[in-house]
Amino acid sequence: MGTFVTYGSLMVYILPICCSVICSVFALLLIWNYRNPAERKLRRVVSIYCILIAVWWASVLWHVLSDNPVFLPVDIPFALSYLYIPVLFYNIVYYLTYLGNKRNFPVLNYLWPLPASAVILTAAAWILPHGDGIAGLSPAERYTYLFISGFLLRFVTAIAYIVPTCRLLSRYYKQAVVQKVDADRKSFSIRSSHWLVVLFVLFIAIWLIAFLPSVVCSDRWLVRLNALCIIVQEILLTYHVIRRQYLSYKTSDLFPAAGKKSENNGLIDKQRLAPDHAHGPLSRKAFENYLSQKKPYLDPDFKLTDMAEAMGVNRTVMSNFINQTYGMNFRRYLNQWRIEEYQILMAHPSNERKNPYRVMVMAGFKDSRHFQRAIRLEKAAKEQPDEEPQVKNKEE
Amino acid sequence: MNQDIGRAIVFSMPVVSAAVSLILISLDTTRSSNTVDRKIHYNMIAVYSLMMLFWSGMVMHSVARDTFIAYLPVFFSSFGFIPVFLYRITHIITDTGERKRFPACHFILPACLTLIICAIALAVPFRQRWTAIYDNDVNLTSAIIDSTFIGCIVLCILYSWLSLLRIKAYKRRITDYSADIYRMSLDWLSFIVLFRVVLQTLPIAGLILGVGLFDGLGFAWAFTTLPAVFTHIVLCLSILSENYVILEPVSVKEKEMTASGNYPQLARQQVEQYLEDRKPYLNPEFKITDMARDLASNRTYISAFINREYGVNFNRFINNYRLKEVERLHAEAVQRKQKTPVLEIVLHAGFSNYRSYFRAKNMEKNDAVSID
Repeated sequence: MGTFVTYGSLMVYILPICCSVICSVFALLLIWNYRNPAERKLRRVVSIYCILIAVWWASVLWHVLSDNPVFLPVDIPFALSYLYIPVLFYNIVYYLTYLGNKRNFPVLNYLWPLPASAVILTAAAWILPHGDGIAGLSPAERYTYLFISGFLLRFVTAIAYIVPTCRLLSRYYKQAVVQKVDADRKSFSIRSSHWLVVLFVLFIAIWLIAFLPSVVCSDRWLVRLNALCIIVQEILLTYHVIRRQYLSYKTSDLFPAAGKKSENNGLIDKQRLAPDHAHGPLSRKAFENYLSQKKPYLDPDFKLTDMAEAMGVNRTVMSNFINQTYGMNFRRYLNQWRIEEYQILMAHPSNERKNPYRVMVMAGFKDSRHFQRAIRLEKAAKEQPDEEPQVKNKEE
Repeated sequence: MNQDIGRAIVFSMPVVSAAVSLILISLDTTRSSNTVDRKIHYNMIAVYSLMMLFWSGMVMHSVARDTFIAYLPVFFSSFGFIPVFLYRITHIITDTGERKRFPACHFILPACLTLIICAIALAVPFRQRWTAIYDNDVNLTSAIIDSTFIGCIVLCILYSWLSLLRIKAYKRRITDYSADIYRMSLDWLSFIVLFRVVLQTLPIAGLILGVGLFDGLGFAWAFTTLPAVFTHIVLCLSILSENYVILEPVSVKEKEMTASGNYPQLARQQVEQYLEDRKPYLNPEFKITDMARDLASNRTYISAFINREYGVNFNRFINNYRLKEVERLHAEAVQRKQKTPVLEIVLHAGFSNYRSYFRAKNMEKNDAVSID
């Protein structure tokens, strides 16, 4: 059983490392399947970000495993990962919240931490040259000791980047509200999904938890919590990057003829179902027009979400609309249309000799059970149609 | 002891990757809207859960031996069911339009194997099972377990073969349906199927059956799990980014149209006019059903028409238009002295990404060579 305990305690550190490596491979594989250059950049940055987190945890693991905590060769990437993870996160948010104006991410963000930290370190080493703990160490060791022990130094970039990231996010949400009027539905749905905020909160949580052991006593539960936060953050990020749940760059209108298509680029394939009057409030007339012309109810799998998508509103609005205007739920409403279609089809002379079952399928019912249930419901509501029950007898 | 822990850590990597994929896929189920999509997602969840069970069995095999003996039936059943579920996913994706149900008889074989192991777990005392797994003595129990294991591997190979056959049949059909070279190729699926057979089954078989294949290689066995991790990632990624085209079933209406023959006859000029004016091929997901709808005709007729009139299939036909469009846009950009990246042009012309453009171009080149 002893083996299992050792394994378990090791896994606390290995799990986030594994997870980050896997997420970075996800992002790496995605690089080849991009739709525009910006997407490729974003994916590259996400991949590097995950790798850096893996490096960070790997060096933590190394420190835990080895007995000499003062200086290890792994400390150099360790320090670098501390410095650059916030910068990369800022970069990711920068690309994700990108709206319109085509500007590259300023390179300066990547350059300043190095000289800044070097200056601080030299100054610190100069001011306190002979402490008790660091006597008899080489300069490199002394610097790392300072860096590792001086926790403020470690978190300098994290603290420095919280404010700009916050500003980016708030600006993004403000602009998204403005754009809502003329933008497509996608931006609307993105605005309503607040995963970016969750991502940011997780980011702060990760650094806070990493910061806590230096102040309070170190605790195993804190490490576990931190690992959990990292895993959740990475999975969230990877998922949304794969699914393209962000406003993609509008490709510049180089080709006016093809301009319309470029918008289509980042959108989901279901878009083409949408009629031209997709925007604006729902009207009864437009809605019924759509139903009677396109006859979407002929598809047995037609759903409320499809309907909502076609009308350019969200599910709740659609459902409320049907409930209020017609006083019934969507399924029943749809079945009424189908029954009507069925009656028309049955009345048609070419269908006279046909099996009622086949006519029923043509009208959009999935199977006879659905059909009979719909009929029964209608009958209970109105006690009007009397010919339908015969179908049941004919079939059996 | 140290080696055991190392081995356990290596084996837990596929567990983690399967778990990550599982989470990603289940995040995605809320979004999938049609039945086929949902079916694929549920099957993927099943596959990844089984994979997690299987690989955590491998972890237990190295670290918690007592638990592994109790876990044995789960381990074997997951191993037996993985290929069947993978085949089921292949079955759904490569459906050629009939929407046939997946026959339940495929589940019989792995269920039998599971039953055998369950019977052993009930009949044979714990100590004996332990020796059968961990010692190299030959007795009845170990023989049965080994043969069950071999049965699982044979099952895996058999189903890979079946999947490849299905993919082949599908590829023949799809060229007349879609023009999205990248998504319809299903290379990733055949890659996963082959990879599973070659790289995953053999090393594990060696390890469990105690062949000693990897004892001499030192740390080399650590890399045997990497292919597994890689296949997990590729599978998840392809499903999430929908790298597949599912043939829509022929609707009742369409069938009637074909039977009765009341659809307008097409002329070459009409088709070309339509393509020139509307430029539907600029949409990367342009399908033959879209074309049939726009021309008020039907799918079989159009595909036969293109084959007869132009001597190429639908896929090649549309991609030729796209290549022409690329040339035109390129010339336009040169004329205006703009520096436009090739990628942007390719995407504007309706290719879903650079790779599909590259393939289309290669196809055309090969064609030109063979004609000369």
